[in-house]
Amino acid sequence: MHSSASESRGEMSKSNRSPTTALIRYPLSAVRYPLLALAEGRQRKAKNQQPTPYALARPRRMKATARGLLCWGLFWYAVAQLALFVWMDDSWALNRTRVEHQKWEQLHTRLAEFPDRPLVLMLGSSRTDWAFQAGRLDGQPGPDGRPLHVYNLGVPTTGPMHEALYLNDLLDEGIRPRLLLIELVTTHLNQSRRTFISEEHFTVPLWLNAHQLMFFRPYFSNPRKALIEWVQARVSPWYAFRWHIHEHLQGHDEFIRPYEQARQPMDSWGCRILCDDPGTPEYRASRWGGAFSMYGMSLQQFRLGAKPAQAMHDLLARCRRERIPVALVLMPITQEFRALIPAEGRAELDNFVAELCDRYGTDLIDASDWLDRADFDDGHHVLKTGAHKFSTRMIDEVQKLLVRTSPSEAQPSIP
Amino acid sequence: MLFCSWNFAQFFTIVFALYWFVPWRRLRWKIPLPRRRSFTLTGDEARIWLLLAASFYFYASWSRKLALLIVASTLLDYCIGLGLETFRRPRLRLALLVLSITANLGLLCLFKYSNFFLASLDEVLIAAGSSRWFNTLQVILPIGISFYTFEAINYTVDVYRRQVRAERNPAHLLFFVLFFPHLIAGPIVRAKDFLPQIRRSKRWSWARFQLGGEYFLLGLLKKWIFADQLALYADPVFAAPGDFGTLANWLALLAFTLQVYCDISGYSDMALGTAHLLGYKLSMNFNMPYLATSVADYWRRDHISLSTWLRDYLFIPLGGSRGSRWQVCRNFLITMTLGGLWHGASWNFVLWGFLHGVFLSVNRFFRVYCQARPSLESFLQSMLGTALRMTLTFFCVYQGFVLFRAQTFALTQAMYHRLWVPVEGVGVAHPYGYGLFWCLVAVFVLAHVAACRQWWERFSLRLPTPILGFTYVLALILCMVMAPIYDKPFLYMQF
Repeated sequence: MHSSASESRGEMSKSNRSPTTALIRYPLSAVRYPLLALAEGRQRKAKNQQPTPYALARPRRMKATARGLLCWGLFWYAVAQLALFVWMDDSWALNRTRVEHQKWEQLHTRLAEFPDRPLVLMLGSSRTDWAFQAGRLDGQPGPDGRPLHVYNLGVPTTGPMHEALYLNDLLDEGIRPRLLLIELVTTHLNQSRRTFISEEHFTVPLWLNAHQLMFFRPYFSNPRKALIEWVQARVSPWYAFRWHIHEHLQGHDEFIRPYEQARQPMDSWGCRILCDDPGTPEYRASRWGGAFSMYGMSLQQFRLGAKPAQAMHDLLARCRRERIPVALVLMPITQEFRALIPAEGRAELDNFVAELCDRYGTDLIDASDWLDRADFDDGHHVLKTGAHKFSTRMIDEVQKLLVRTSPSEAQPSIP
Repeated sequence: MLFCSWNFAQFFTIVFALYWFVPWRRLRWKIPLPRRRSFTLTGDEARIWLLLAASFYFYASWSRKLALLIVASTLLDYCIGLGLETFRRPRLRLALLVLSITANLGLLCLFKYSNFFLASLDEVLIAAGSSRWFNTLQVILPIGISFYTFEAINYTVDVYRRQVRAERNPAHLLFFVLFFPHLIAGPIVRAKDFLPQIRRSKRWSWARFQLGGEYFLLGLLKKWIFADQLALYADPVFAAPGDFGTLANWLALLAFTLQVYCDISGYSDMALGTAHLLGYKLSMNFNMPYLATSVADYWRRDHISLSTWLRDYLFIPLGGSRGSRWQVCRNFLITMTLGGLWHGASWNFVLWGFLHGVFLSVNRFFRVYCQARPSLESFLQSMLGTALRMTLTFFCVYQGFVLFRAQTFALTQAMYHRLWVPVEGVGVAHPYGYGLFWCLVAVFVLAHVAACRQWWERFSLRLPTPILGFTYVLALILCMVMAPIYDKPFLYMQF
């Protein structure tokens, strides 16, 4: 079935067929030769021939409406990007981003509840998130008799860069901790290299806001690349977030095992409520295998990165400037996990820690060998028993630290 | 720098903005030369230099040294072109032409085929009982060398035939070869089509802007939605055909057949679109090849710029369709075998080309056979006959793609074995299963039907501008969502 218009076009093309002017059919072929058709139309007009309306209609329309089409295209494009942001809710975000938002909100709520209590805050990674039961110390009297406010701000995949950011944001909001415990995340002190795990590896620019991006700029090994990725995500989010869109469409987020510790809820003090059941032996074996395969190669070729080390220095320097008492914490890990780092790397790490303690006068809580192998979920994350043991000893250490830090250094959490 | 990459988007935005938004027409630079002479650079000429610089940057972003190699070989062709126009003695002109062809093909052979020939010779010697003779050369294949070599040869041969005037301005000739939309993977541009366009002054046209955008979007649709998604069904099977069942092998071959068309025609469309956005027109490269009714028709519709080049500069000089039946057959076989070798330095490509030479020869014999039998001829021209011819042509091309895609003879053999000896086995594991595959095939068929019936032409004319804008944005968003996580290079870039 052909319409009369296409028939007339067929006649036209038969009568005027030449190698250059033959109209070739093709998907979306209307866009193929409009300019040529326009030129033909002019020639025909010049010869007083009747132009074929159908052949010329599209190029004429293009000439008339291209500008409008561009404006409408830009308008719909902007609408589409907004629609994506409306569609994307918290469940889309990275686990790190999600936990960060939840904890930040929770910390503010608690601070608003007890504004006069001195704050003891622990910054760290998922190891801290799972292990430090801050609630057990919260409300207990400090050396000055006032009840303490203790919070676990451990966020998965956090390292020195994020710890520096969190402290910066807290101080900007006028929140000054009485004591700051900072986890020294050895895996994230690794130099950022392709295929190796480092903090930068986990810091996805798509999910950062402008403030975070600017803060991390000096610590990125390739700040330009990060900036481009960030801009890309703002200009064409449908492209930048396509992986997340597919994951969402395939429903990957919905399947959670009952004993998957990382997805368990957290208590009011920011600690993950680990479940009693550690899972089947197969599941646990897969957890151990997964952790070792994930970190194995990176730790075996450990090299202290200049950028993460700089972030650590900046963080401690800021604490010293603000006169915030600080203690560095080496979280518990298994012997096997520790052995992944070769002797050279370990010596480099030890020197670095000693240098930090020496230069900034910070205390060091070395909890790396506090727990037994059976207390671990995967070699570096603890189980519920491990969390309990760790927190018991940690509470003692914190109390000692609170006594030791001079009263002049003590500040209320909200001035 | 791929057309469908963020780097290219940034690069092109800058080039486009500089090209159209700088008031070039008002600019006139008078550059003083020695002996009180001067050279005036007009705005149009400055624009060409801008695009030339951009094209050089485009290629140099991959390899600076090899970008200089193209410049050097083009400048040699420039000098030879001037010589061909100046000299009248036939022998001298022929010698210059031979020099140009030798230099261009010599570079192509050195970079693309030297290791292939050395390895093949080595295998023959080892098979004959000798020890290893040759070591492979440490050369990298310059991207797009097959395309720009053919363009350079086309220029010198046309100047030799006096079909094109030798270009006086070296910048114009460099621009003809280096123009970034066609530099990497075609279409193979003809000097007689492109050089006059360079001399023409360019003016902004909204219609042309829309046309360029539409071409680019069409190319993006083909590349990201079809080619890259279909590759996920084809690649695992072609890597190990024995691990999959017969059905999975047939579907993988179908996926590759559609992928290869969408990939290269998508690139061509993007090249056409990019060129249009800068005020240039490149030749059409594809015309629904899978609707061809014979293998000869297929080559008139598929990779038109290459097939016409082979026809004009190889098949016709060899004697073309003139001469005895066997001479024509020989010409087909030589042309198509060399055409196959052009695609890649591998015996698989040689065999693939040879197979198409055989198809073309059979097609020619059959056509002569049919001409003497009017009833058979009329049946073949009927609707049923046309469908039959179309199906048979598609099947021949489809089977030939095993040779094209499989990396080695062993894999080719394994693939054909799995295709023709039914074995039950697993299919390809894809997040969306085979549902997406069938969806893509259905849309592909529907797009061809729509193109034949000119549905889009009619429909788009009646659509109000806001709805048309919405349609284009929807297509763009779909492309973005379906884009692969890691950029996949175009198939023809390796050639």
